[in-house]
Amino acid sequence: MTGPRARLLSANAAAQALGVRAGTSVTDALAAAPQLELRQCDPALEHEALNTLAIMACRFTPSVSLQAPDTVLIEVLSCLKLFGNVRTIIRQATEACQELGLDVVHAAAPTPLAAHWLANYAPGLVVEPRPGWQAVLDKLPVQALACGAQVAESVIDLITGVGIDTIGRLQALPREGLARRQARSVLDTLARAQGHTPDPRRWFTLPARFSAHITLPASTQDVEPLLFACDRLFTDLATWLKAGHAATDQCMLHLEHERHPASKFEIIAAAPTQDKRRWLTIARERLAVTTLAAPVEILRLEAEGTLKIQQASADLFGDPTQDDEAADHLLERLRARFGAQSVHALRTWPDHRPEKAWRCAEPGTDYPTLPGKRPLWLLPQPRPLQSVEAFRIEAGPERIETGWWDGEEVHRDYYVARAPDASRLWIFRDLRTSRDWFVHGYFG
Amino acid sequence: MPAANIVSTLIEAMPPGLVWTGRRMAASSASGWSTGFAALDAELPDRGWPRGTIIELIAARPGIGELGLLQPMLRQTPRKRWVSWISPPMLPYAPALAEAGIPLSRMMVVDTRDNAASLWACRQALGSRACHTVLAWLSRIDTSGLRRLQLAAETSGTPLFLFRPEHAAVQASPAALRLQLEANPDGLRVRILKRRGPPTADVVHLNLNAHTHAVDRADPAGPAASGHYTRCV
Repeated sequence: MTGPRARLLSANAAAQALGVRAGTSVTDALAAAPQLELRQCDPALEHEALNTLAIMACRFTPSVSLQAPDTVLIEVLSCLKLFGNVRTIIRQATEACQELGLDVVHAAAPTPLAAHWLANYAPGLVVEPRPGWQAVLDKLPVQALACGAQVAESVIDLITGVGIDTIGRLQALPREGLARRQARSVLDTLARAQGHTPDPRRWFTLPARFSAHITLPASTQDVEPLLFACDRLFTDLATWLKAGHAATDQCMLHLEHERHPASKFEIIAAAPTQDKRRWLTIARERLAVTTLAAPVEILRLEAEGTLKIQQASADLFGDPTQDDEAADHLLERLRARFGAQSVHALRTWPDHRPEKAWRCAEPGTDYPTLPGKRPLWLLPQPRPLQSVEAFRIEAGPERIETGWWDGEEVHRDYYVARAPDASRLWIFRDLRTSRDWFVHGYFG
Repeated sequence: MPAANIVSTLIEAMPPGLVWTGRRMAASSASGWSTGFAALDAELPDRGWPRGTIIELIAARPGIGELGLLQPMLRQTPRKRWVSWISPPMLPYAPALAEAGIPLSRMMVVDTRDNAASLWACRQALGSRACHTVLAWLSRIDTSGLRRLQLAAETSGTPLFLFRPEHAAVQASPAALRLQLEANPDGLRVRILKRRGPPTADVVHLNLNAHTHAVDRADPAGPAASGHYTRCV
């Protein structure tokens, strides 16, 4: 915050030793400790960190909700059976946060608002949904009402002004009186926190493609600091993959320079993986053999086209559908990238015109076939021949004269010819127009 | 009696396995797929196409008989497996493939946009383990790209037939088998540039006609009298 009313959001241990606390105004803090180093808070960075946290939380439950600027709420009741109990989830989430380099506090409660308050004013508390659990809220200060709720600062000032300091004492006040003094929001908020009225949340959706970047504090060309930053990016990527129960074998690392086009590295693993160490090893090798054009300012990592991890089912007699699945999976993957038209099987088609005697077909589907003594390779377009002097005719002619009904009539005499390099060609003479020679295929 | 003959007579007299001769090819743990050509099988360490490796087929241009060489292998495509054709230079012609007894529904032709996409498709096809074999035509590939493909082929146990231009013969390659192909009046001349085993200078002559159809000779100058005549009215 800037301006005369700017306040400190947090202070580290050294600052606190000098008597500086979170909430102190900047002018007061500087008066108490002139040597204080102040850092501006960056909402964009905060939002990004919150996003990372939400992506991490997606591995536990699909019901994740962002509460800007600093809280992520997750609904775990529906997935408790999978993890056993809340403590397991908390332990795993705390470990994951440490790996992400985020310092977090937590709390668990039967309603989202109660959990939010407890995380702020009684971190670490886990409240089981027993009858009468709402009593734990009574000890919280009235200021908690401002967390994630629509209670205005002026209303809280009003309540504290009459000497009410905890939620328990606030509840003892007559409800009609509160409602009359513009404190309707207080009653609504309390009802939601205690679970008397529903508290629906907007759920966070996992982004379909991964993109993260790190701006280096000082630009560098050295491999080690770059790898250190890469490690952070790969950790984020692994978190994103785990949240989607997916794996990838490919990601793109962009190193952005000042006044130079970005250097791009395609990181390709041998098999789809979630393991950041695999990518880090590849990145290390790639960076080690590359001379960068200029110092790096920003690292950006992007990934898409992930694979769902297939949970191998333990079947006593083996899984007969496995082959089918692998085959379908490859087809889907190739079609996802190139389009359905570009990945096809073949079939014969009842037409005497060679270029129309085949069609693209749906892979894996059987059609009746019409075999023919034909070359294995067909040219997409017949290629004109200058002369056939050098060719030795081995078979032919086979006259093909058909197609008058659709305007693509052909009158051709086909021959099998041997080229000077001993390869066998399928050539024809166009009888309709100029009697020119064309190559139409190779007996590859 | 020349000295070499004395040595070979001596070795033959000894119990088998006591002396290792340089001509002998190491017995590979995995047996290969028969190429369908006895003369070629005899020269290959696995008695056929090796599994799980790149096999390079080097030819001046496509259409000289390289598909004829693979016909017996393609004919054995099992159900539920694909044969991936990655960016083929021409159209694999369905009637001829059907004539050769190759299951058309298992041929998966992939038309890619560029070389990088083809490489990606190769890796996917190999990594999926859903392919009987992968056939690929890449416009260019460097040694590290080859090594990556070789690794993918090894891991999956799928053979990758890489069709390469003639100048690729001098480039180093991790492929286990490299064959140089030339058309021959009665079929195909195969020179083994590299195999797992002692190098060989022998050239194998294959008669592809035994596997394709016989052609009848005709008078080239005459009209359609002696040939087939197809007319649809």
